[in-house]
Amino acid sequence: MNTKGDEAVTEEVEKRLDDIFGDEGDGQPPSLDNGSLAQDSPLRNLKGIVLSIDWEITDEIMDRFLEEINRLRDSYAGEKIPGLFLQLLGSVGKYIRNQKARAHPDSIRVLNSVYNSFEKVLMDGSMPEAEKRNWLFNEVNHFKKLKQDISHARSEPTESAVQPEPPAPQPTEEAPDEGGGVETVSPGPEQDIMPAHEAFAYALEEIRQVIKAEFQALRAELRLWREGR
Amino acid sequence: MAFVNLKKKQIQVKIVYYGPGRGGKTTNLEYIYSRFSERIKTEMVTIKTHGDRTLFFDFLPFDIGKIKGYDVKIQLYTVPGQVKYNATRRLVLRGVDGIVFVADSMAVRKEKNILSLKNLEENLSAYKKKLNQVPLVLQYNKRDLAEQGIPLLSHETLEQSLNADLKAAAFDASALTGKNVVATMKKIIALTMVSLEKQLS
Repeated sequence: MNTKGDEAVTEEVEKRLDDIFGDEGDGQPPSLDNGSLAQDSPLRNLKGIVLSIDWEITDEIMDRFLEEINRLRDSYAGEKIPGLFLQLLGSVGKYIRNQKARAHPDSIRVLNSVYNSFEKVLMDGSMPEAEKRNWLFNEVNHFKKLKQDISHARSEPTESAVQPEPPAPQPTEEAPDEGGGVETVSPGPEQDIMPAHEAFAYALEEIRQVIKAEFQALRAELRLWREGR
Repeated sequence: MAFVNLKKKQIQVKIVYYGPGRGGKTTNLEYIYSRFSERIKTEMVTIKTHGDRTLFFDFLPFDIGKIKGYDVKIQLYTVPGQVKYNATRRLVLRGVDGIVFVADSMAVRKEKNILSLKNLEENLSAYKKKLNQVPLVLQYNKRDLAEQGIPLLSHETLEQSLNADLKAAAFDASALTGKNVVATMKKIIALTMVSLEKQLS
């Protein structure tokens, strides 16, 4: 229940906050891609799954992603450009599924970029074929760059003594397609590691618990000592 | 309990944005910083991985002037949302005065929200605090995704799954567009100040 005192504080706080945050501020709002999909869009499910993918990758989400890719590949069988986009998405998706949190950080960005280009190409009915191919080649280049970065990361020495980097994935080439030489990326073995800062925070928490336990024991001893006197 | 300097008549208030990974906690702070940096005259500190995920925490301090004769300094923090960073989350919660729980409205994230709220309760219990005793605002983020045809949880479903017992103030929001970002922040600051005033009096 609100008291008069509560209301007075609330009023004073709100007045101060209105002075600072009263209107919409001085800066520019962040941009937002408002590209909407119709209820019956063939990409509706895929877009939902792509947006839900993050570094806490679960097998369930990635399985759904790959199933949706397979479903769309069936739907677009015989159509070269959509087929190649889906092949790209499938390749990056498989890599992320296997690497999960240890996937190269750019892999999520590449996945999003390939998806966005795919959506543009598919949803713009008036886009000329040449322009569609440009979008595709652009994404193939992003994918190739990712593959290079993964290989490069593998060859770099480890930086942390606490937790070595997991072995980088081994890229392997699939038979190239006419449209742009799409490649697959197969994962390396998985490791369960704790990042350095988290290990530090964990250790700090452990130390705190030990000190707490020590003080409790000391207090108990003092109590016994006093009672014994 | 907030840091109170009776001699200098200053109060430091710690507000933590908590919630599942990729839910929009950092985006809330980034919106506030990008829109109001000229007025709050401060720097936002953020430690991210090169994949743009929060590694340790984000930190946005600013002054709101005098309340009841005290200079009030607000400190907004986020925690890393990824499950594996629990020790970090627990440390950031130390001395928290108010919490914004940023839930992800996407239908596929329903379980993550519930797990994250449970995790918040567990971590607070390490400091002998209960969630219903800490000033709390729920924010149902990413409502803008409805325009893109993404399946979202309804406000009612979110209320049922997260707020049925807590009955905290709740806002539908979009941290990306800024919708209700400031309203959420104003609400948690007001609730926290009322709570602190009670503790101090």
